[in-house]
Amino acid sequence: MIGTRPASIDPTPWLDLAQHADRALVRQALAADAPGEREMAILLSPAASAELEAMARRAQALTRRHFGRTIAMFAPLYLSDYCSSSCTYCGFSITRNIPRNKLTVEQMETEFAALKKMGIEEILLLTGDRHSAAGFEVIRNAVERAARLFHSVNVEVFSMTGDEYRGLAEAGCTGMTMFQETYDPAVYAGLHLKGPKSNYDWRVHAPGRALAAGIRTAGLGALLGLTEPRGEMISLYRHAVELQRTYWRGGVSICFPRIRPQTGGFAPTFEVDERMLAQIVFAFRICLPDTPLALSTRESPHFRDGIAGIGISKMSVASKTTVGGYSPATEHSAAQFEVNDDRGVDEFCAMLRSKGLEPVFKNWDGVYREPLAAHAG
Amino acid sequence: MSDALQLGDRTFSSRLLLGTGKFSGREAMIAAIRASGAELVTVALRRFNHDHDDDICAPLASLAGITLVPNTSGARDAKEAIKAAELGRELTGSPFVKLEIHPNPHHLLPDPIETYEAAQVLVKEGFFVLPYMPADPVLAKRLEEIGCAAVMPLGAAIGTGQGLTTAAMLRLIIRDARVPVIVDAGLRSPSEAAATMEMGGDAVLVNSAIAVAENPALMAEAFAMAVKAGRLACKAGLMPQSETAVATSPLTAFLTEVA
Amino acid sequence: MDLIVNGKPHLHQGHGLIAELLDEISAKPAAIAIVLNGEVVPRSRWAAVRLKEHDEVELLTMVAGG
Repeated sequence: MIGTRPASIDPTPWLDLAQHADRALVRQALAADAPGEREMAILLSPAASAELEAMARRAQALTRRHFGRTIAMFAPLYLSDYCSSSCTYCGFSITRNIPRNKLTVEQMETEFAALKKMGIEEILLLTGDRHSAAGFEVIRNAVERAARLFHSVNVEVFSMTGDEYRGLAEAGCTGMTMFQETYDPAVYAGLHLKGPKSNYDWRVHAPGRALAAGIRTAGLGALLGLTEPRGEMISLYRHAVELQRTYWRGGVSICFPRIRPQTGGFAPTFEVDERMLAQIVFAFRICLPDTPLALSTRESPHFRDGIAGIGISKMSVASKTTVGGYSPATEHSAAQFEVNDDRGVDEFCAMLRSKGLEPVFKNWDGVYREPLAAHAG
Repeated sequence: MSDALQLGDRTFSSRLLLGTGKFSGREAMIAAIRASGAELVTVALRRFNHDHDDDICAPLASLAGITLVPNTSGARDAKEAIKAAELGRELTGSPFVKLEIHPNPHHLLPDPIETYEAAQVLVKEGFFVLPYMPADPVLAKRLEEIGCAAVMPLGAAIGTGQGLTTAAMLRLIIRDARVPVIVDAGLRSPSEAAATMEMGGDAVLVNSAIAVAENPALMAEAFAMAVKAGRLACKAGLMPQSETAVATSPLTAFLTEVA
Repeated sequence: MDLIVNGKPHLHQGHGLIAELLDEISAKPAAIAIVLNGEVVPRSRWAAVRLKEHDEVELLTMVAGG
């Protein structure tokens, strides 16, 4: 069954501009006082690629204005790789014959301690799709435990009900991330054949549900490579704007996962190269000047070094995408995606400092923050 | 394609709202309203005085296409404002109310807390609440959230004619609003009204600048043109100001360099 | 009866009906709203009201204002 892309995030009115804008329009978009949807479409166009340096300068200036010269740091922790869905591009798909693992409570605490020792203060907890081995309770329990140690606890798990998000918020969860993977319902249907994740509607409305339930931040993204990127990024942009306007007390952040090679050999249909990825990041920074933009360790050290502070304001570091993996206590397991930048925290921070950027591990003290009141929006 | 202004369940073609205070007399006021093309006109509540017939509803009834917007000026707190709004609705039958609560008689700046509390009650009583407010982006979202039909941030203090002193805040309000933004108070010249519309404002409310002008009807006509011009300019897309590029080493070298 | 109307003492000659008071003051009913002892009295209830000794009545009308 094919889902329905909400009309509010339909990119169709802008697709022509995104393909055919000329250089004059690009220059106009770059100088616009209050860039909006139209400028977003223009800045994603092929013509804008010729103005990448100008886009980068603008993106850097805006990043400095809103984020200073800081980069927010975080690390992911996979709690489990059990999964009930089959996403054709993912290493954890239910169809893959890999040994499945899940952290015991003791292992979880050991992983937390290892991450704290690395200096991590913001943790992102991940699981596969809803599964009896790693359902709501497991995640809620992990959040509660993590919230005792880390100032910011976020989850990137399966789509939940409003009540479940409320439960997470009350347990100390400050943010959720949910990549729509692709906003194109037909493409989505073809990639997500089985399990709860095959429900497009249930997924696309999850960030809104979470924010309405009192989760402070929703992290959005689309997996670059699954479909034509310009239309995809326009949908993503519109999704972010709509959520920011409605849930104005909370926030939205955007990440830019890009399909990289992995075991199983899923080849992206629409390959997005580094230049296009950079253009996308710059366009988002210009059109959403104060929205955090994050980049993971999927990308190479060279690319990460180059783009830190130029649009990108947040980066994961020293990531393990296997279950656990930060302490010797956890067993070997399959990775969800291949990490390309495996530099440790110290080395990565030294790189940032050499570029005049300050890594920030802890921005707020979690101890006095309550979940936001549930809000109709 | 219609560019109508939607407020509550009504639509209006004029984006210039007029205040009726401070005119030299009734004739000047009527002439100005006619010249402005305004469809929404504010009126105030006062004690009846049998010495002179102050009633404004009768004269305004002679103008076609006018919707009255009673204001609550004089109210010093939410309780008084709510009562004033109810009285205004009693007298005019209009669902609109300009909620204005300015306890300080010198600067007449609006009290955000009383305004918020009054708005909560009045929205529940079915009013289309147009709250006059400080140009604060968070307050604007809170008033929108509780159901106000628009927000009315000030450009400058009432009657000062200081123009868009709050421009930076207005831009933020306009950027994030999901209800119309009507800039009210402080405008002196039609060019300021045009500037407000160019920055994306949905409408302006003007009183002193027209009432106290040498020729109010002519000034009203000028404002009407300015509001239309600004609105068209906003939709037409202003050309960029020139940017001087600063030569630095290229930021995008990392995309072409070999890793 | 003695009333306070718009803050000033007023000697009401009638039976305490609003219509009578408005007539005394030469106020056109259509242009008046009434607050009696601090409470708004909607037009629909005017006929049912009986004013009492020392009642405070505010008579309000719409005038020009910004």
